[in-house]
Amino acid sequence: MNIMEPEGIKKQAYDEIETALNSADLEAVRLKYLGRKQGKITLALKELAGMSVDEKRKNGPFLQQLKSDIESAISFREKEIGEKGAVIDVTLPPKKIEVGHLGLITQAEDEIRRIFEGMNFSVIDGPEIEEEKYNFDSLNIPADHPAREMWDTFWLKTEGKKKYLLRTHTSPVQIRYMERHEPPFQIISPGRVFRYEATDATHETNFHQLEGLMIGKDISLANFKFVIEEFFRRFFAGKTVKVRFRSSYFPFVEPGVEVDVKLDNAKWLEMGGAGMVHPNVLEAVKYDPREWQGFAFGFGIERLVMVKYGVPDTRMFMSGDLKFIKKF
Amino acid sequence: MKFSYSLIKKFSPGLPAKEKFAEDLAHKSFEVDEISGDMMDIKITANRWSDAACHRGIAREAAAIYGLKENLPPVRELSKKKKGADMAEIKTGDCLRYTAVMMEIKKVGTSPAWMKKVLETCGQRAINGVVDILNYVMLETGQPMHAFDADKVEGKIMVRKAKKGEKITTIDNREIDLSPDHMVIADQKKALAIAGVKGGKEAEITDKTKRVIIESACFDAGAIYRTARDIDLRTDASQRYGHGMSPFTTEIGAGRAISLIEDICGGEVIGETDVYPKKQPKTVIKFDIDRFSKITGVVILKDKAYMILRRLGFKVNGSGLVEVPPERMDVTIFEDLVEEVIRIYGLDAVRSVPPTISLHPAHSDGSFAYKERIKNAIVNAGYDEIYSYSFGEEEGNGIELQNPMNREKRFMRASLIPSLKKVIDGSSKSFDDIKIFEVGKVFEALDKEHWSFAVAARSKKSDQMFRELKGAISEVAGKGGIVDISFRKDDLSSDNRLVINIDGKAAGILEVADGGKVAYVEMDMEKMMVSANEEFEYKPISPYPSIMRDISVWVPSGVLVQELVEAMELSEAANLEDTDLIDYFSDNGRTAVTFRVIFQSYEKTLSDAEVDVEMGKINTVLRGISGVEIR
Repeated sequence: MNIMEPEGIKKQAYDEIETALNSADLEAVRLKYLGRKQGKITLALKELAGMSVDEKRKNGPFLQQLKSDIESAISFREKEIGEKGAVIDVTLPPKKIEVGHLGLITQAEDEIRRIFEGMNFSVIDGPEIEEEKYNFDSLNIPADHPAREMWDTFWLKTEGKKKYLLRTHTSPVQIRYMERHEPPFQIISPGRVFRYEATDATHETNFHQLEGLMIGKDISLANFKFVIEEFFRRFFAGKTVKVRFRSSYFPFVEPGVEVDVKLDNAKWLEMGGAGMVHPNVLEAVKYDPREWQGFAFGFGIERLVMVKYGVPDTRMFMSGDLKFIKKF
Repeated sequence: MKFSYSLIKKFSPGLPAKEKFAEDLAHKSFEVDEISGDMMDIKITANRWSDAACHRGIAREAAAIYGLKENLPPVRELSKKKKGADMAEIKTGDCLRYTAVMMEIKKVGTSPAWMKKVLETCGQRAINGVVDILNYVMLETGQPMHAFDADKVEGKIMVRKAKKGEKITTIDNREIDLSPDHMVIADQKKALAIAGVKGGKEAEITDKTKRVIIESACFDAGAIYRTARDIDLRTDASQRYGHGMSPFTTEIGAGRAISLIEDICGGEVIGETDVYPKKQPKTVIKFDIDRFSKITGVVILKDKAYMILRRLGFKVNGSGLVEVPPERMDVTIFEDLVEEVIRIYGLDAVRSVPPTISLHPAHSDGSFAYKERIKNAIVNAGYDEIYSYSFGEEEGNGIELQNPMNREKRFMRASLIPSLKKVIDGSSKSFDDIKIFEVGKVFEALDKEHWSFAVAARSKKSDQMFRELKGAISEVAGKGGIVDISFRKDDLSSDNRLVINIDGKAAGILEVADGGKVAYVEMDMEKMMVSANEEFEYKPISPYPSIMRDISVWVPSGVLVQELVEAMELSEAANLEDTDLIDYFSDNGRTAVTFRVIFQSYEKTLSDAEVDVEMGKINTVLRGISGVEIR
């Protein structure tokens, strides 16, 4: 190689690189110029060793530059060949991405909160171990009366006089809230409740309820119907929703109603209890029932979720079955 | 409660077919659990036993719903003559009324076929004429009835508290120990019955009985409820009394029983006693049609409301004063009348009306939004959420249930980790890698509980799952607004345990199990919330490039990475931004550790020479730890 003609060599090398059609051709070009034993540039660089300092200074950088130019041209062409050459099968199945999953109860609770916060309801928390007073007495559920048997109760061992239990419903939050706040207001309280009963597809010992309470000067049953229809419409979005009331009895409301929902043309489904807050409950928190009135309601969150997603068995929520959890 | 449809229809002629009636009843009065032949199983709500737990009561509901005219058998009035007026006396305030009727009968005999049919439909066995009549009267009127063989009663009947140590043998041969908390019907010598609960053997009716004493009485609801619970004996009578009966019904029951015994057993009244010390006061309530509309949002004519009330047996005068029928013990206030009117009028009339309110901003408890924030952050890190029971077998803080479902579920949990463990154990066959979390209440004392956040990771392949978890928790803390979180091995904790600090204060723990294959974290979510709510200042991003240097050291066993990191942080090396562990392996009893040390100035571009000086300080402190060599 005549090192005095570098531009010619460069052009020749570039031509060969560009016309190489596959990686074997390209490898041949690489060996021709850069091969460790026979490569033209390699040999020229070796020759350089025997030259004078002046010549070295003149040609050295120059040859190095040439070497690196050819290297990068080869690697550029390598990529081009690679892209053109390989056939990509885009019908390959998706790669499994491991992501986490929120429980359905959480998803429902978050959605419920958003819907009610959108209607200016505050979301309030309450204790799961509750005093007998808040769970029963203040809610107009007298001691030593069979009405109390509507709630099968887990009692806690205690040495003191005050009796504690696992709250059987979220309704005690009504009392706790009213004790500390003045009306008017509207709140919901989602949370865990407990019932001492045998489990089956529709009964669990630990489950979740959604409590609601709205108090004002003239909050009526018709207002409740509006709020609850609005809630169901948003929660069961995409379905036509009909709501009806049936007469029922819960000691803390008067009148008391059972709330049924019909989605599209399916059967009527019992969703929960509601009614106008009983004057005895208002009096228990020192509200004047002649001045204030309003509605309260309680729904099972599992029930809402089962209807929405078609979950057949309420025990699945507490099962810790990851196959179930990863489905949603 | 089982009812005979044909008997209801006999009392309310014109009643529609069973299915239609059941549907309307379910809307306006009570749910119907089952219909089978003539039997309707109606779920009487706990407030309506005093009037509706009987055929007369349901017939009245039917009459009100459909506007029918009732056709009830007439009730024979108690005779005014009060023959044998001192046959019984009441010695306790828990007996509100006691009616005793002595009758001479031709025969005890058997009951007629129609009566047997009603009894059978309602799930009762036919026994003999007198007993069947009394059982039938209860089904018809709701009044529990009892009969004694008058010739076995010695002297006057007394309603009194049981004596200490008193015993009674019931007609079904159970011996019951009584106490002064309980009430008995007794003669001058012995207890004849546990009042309101069950009859005794002593004065039982037999085929040979010639004279009977019919008892129709009213007792305090709470007293009977407590007694039945105490002695664990629940009977039809105790259930009815336990819900609360009206003393008025006493005379209805007695009157009907007299007529039927006269007819069926050829009976004749030879004495009547009615002890009724304090008459049940009349309940009169003013009906206010405007207030009715204000509560229900439904406007109806006043006369329509009055008509509904009248059909239900209420007396209403022209000025809207409503007298409640005495058996309607559930109706005591105006709102109760509202319910009566709206349910019969039809709850479908309630339309949706948006409430008009003044705008008070919502003020939700922070725990809900924070739970959501934390849950979303940990889910983004690839973890699945589980829900598990709030009680378990670990003693926790010793908060124990009086009546657990079983021994494995008797303590309230103080930690969520055992629940996570259970899920990991149950899932490790199906899954090589498990990443789960739970947010739930844990219990410190009866009146103290807090939200807890627990995470677990398990891998078949890795024995460094705690590093995975540390990473996830750091990420979640960041997303959860926590600026200062650190994992510290303190001198007190065991080898497999770290303390997690937030703002320098303990807020959780990390635990390693199964040789590093499993790791758990549990944090007090409320402490996380407190830290997140504190203001923190925005730290600007430096516009100058950072410089990285790697440093490798050999450390002897016993020296922890935490010590090396702390030493570097305390080295006073200027502009030290971060120290990342990038390599870690053990060889022959010593461990090679490589850190990538990052220097960052917020004022200028650092030069290599400047960084060399600071690296020198780091080298010095590391070498200062006994046994550490720079590689």
